Amino acid sequence: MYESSINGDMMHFSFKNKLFRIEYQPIIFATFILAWTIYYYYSTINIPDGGAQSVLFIKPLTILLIICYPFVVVRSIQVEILSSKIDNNISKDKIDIDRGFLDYRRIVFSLSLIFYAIAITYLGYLIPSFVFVIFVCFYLGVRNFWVLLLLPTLLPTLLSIVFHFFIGVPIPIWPWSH
Amino acid sequence: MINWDDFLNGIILIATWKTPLLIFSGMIIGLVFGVIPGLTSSIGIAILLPVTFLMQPLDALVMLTSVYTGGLTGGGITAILINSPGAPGAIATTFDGYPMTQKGMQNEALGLQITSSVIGGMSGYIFLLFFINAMVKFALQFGPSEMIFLTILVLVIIGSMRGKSMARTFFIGIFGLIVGTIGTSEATGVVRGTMGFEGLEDGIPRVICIVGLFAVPEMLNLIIKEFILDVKITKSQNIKKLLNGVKSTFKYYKSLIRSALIGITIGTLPAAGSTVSALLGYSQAKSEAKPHQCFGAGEPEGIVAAETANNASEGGAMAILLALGIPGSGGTAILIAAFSLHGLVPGPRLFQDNAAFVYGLISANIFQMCFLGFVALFVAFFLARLIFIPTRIIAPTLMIVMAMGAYSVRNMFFDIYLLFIIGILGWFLRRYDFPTTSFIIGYILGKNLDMEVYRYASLFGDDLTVFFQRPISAVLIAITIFVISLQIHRYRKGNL
Repeated sequence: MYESSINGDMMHFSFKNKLFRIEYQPIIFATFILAWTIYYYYSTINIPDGGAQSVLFIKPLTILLIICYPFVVVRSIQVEILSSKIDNNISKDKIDIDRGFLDYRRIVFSLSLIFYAIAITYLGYLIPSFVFVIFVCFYLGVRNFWVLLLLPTLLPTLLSIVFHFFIGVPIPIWPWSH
Repeated sequence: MINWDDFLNGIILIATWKTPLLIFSGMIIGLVFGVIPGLTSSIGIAILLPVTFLMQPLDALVMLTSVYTGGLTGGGITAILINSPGAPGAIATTFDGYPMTQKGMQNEALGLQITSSVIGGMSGYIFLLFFINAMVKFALQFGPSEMIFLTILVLVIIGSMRGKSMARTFFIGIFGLIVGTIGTSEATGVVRGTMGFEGLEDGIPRVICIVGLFAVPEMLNLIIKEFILDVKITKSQNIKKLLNGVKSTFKYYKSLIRSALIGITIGTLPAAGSTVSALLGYSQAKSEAKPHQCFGAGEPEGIVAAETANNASEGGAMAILLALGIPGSGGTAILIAAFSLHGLVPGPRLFQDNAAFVYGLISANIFQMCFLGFVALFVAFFLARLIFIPTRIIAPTLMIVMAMGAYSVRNMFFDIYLLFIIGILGWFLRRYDFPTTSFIIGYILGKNLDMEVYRYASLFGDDLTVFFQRPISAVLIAITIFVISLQIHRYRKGNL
């Protein structure tokens, strides 16, 4: 008998009266980390002048990371004898599911952060901050007119005054301040 | 021991009407910088440096060290209220501080945190006053082999604090060490792992990394909630509960003493600093927990242990700064600039030439701690109201403050991108149970350890017997093996 399902961060499949629960997302994440580390090691060692001397510390760490990786994978897999009790647990997991980064609010918030960072670079601090705060507040459910008007207007203005004029942080305030 | 003539001369130097005023203003500034995620007391000191140019050297340093002290405590306040350590040393405070806030016990937590900070800081400076010479001699014994094994020991101890899996803790700790080496190698001058970004040539700035890993993921978690709190609480009884927290701190006197000693000792080690002290203090308290105590889920003793060690390390870091001119932390690194600005060079000669000045500064720091209790309670009382603001307002508001804070670190737009990218990485770490703390410890120690390994290789080549020939490193190896054996033993017995 073979049955499989993906439920949140956990993948289940049953095989020969055994239930395999695999946390597949941490494994993917660890794989990315390992791949980047190996890239980092090779990109450094291949630097012509001083590359080999610059990996004295990175080399043993890369080896240690490679040794740890299988343990991360193995510890992400749980094997249990299949029973009706476990089936019940699976259905309960489905009810309590946390969509993690697939939650649309997190996706929108993260994308708005990235757009905000890009916008500051070209439009200065004030206008993107105003738009960012008003957009995120409205999107997350703020409907009070005064909050939507005063918070995005006063807070970035106050921060700009304090940081730019009093503390002397040379952040461009307006698009033409660059 | 203490030279009483110089000590009394030092007291005379600070016995003016200006001293309390400088301490009070410096502390308020430090607390405000400490509680704003993205800003630290280091930035506060850097910003205030030009302002102090016209002051007398001792007045300037009293004010700047007050900013430093205030920042250390302020960092713990946000660690408790919004799970965002305002200063790196407050990382361990989040473990139990934030769960207490989620249970509606934020006032008690703040009372515990502030009292522990005062006791920790006070004990650190008193110890510094009496034992500075001995501590300096001990720290001077640390060479590359000792630093390497101290780091390994720290990582092993942090590994014992693991969340879901020891494998993930070590994996991410090692990755943290690797990330810490990104940038220009101090030993060879080779630029590594920047992927072509000029902004990474000096490595990832600590402030960006720490705020990114702690504050941004928290915002990503908060936006799907209504309020920070999971339970409904009443707005009244704040002061009473705050004072209850103050009183209950003394119940944990064993943790207070133990963490103070850990903080002082670790504070004297260059680069180890308040973060390592707080984590070790917390870890030690956790390892000696009674069965009914639940560390990581709102245990008051966790806050006491972490904050006492965090602030006690300040005395140790100042000892190394004053006696050797070596910074034990980011804040003391900027204080070196303050000394230079006023024509002073911290180091052995400072003691020989200006002993009264040094004792005056230490005494002023002890005096600061008396102020700290009152000022921080006052600030915390008002900041505790943060949690009544809906998260849909807090999240975007804090993000634009963090963006400004990130830019102000190096005046680079790149740092804003870096902050958000690290923040998203931090969210994944948290989501997949890779302990962020393990990563941070690795990241903080990575750069220095890279240099120490290079130094070791230059001095001893590939001869590993040197580790066993030097007494301190041999002791550290023995402790490391002991801790690992203990963990294996516990694992086999099924206690883990």
